[in-house]
Amino acid sequence: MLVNCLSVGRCITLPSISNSLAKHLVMGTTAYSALRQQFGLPIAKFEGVQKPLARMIGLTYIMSAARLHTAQSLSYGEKPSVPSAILKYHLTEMGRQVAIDSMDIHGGKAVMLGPKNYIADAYSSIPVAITVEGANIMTRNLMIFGQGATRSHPYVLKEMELAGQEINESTVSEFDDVFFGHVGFSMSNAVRSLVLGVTGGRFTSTQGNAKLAKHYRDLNRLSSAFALIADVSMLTLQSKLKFKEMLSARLGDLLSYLYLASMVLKHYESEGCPEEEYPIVEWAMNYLTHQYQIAMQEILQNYPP
Amino acid sequence: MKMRFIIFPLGARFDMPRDYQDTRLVKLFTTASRTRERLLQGTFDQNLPSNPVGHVNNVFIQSLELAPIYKKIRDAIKAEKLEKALGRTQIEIAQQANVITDTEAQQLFDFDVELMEVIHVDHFESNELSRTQVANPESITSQAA
Repeated sequence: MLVNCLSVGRCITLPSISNSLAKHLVMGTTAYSALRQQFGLPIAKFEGVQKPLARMIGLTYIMSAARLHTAQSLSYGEKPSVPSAILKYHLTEMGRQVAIDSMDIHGGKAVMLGPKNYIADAYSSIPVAITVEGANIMTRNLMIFGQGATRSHPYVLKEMELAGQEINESTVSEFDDVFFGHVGFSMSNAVRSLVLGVTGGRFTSTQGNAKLAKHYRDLNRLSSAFALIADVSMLTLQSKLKFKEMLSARLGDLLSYLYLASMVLKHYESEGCPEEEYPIVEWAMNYLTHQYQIAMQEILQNYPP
Repeated sequence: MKMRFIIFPLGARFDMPRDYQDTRLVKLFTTASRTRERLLQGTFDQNLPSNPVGHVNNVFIQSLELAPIYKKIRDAIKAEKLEKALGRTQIEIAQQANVITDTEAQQLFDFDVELMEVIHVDHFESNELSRTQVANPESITSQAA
């Protein structure tokens, strides 16, 4: 209930602030790095500057796509509590990264507080977005995966309801059906993950722009792996899962990266797939799938015995 | 171990963005591109004294417009028709050598003023940084009380 009430503000206010700060800083930093010269060259030509500058651009694109299309779901009357938690955490964290990168590129210009400094205010205001309306630590560790796992699972909620009912022939029979359905679901996810992993998701169906087919295949594959690891965690850890916050946070990260990647593809398609924009989409998809991979590896390395 | 094999049967193959992708993005955003315009749409970019981002962006757009004049100077330096110098001196030399017209030189001089304005770090005199001296410290104490 609380989260539902908060979801509108978390979905719009904080992600929009973070996104606008990021856009503001990308505008200033790209312009400044093209103008500021060192050794007779604009600093934007130095590879050391290109790395953080490209990260600023890529993250801002992801933020814009996610903010726009999640807000759209609100306009259709949805109360997207899980997506709003994803946006609240990830967009404010991305905003912080963009501000740090901008500071690094500007150097002393970002440190001296005066009328020409357009970075310091943005940098100092980001912690507000990070700490209010469900601090980021809590949002990541408890909310993103924790609140969505049971409700969105096709079998767990039904199993819990049946387990709480009086035991008789019909409830036992119904529970058996749901339970074996759950086992079958887990096994099919395991087989699907393995097959998609070996084939690189080549035989899954994709739609839309042909250029994006590889990205959709990657998402199909990674979604299947997420369903498997989430299911195994719920089956093996049961009620202990809620105390395993590090695991829950990383499971939330997997879901978040899949969600953000979907938003990037949706945004690109909604814009009419402009050819010139594709390098950002490719960057964003590589970044998000790589971050997913890191989170998955950390889960596998730290999985409770 | 079994889970790792099921999820990453051929190893971890999702690489982070490559260096060339970073360079490509930076090029896209340090030139006049439609993508830059589209992503930054809605950002307050008016060139007002109270909006330093609008100012730096405006100077950046000016630099793109003046690029052909700067190219003339660079080409003349490459062809050894012009001596290499820094800042305003370079513009003066190019003007004297008729590599650029007087109007073009004036455009570059005006731009140089704007450019220095954007690049310079905020500067304060030492008296601006010191705290204002309180004439009668007791008055503050009595006010607080």
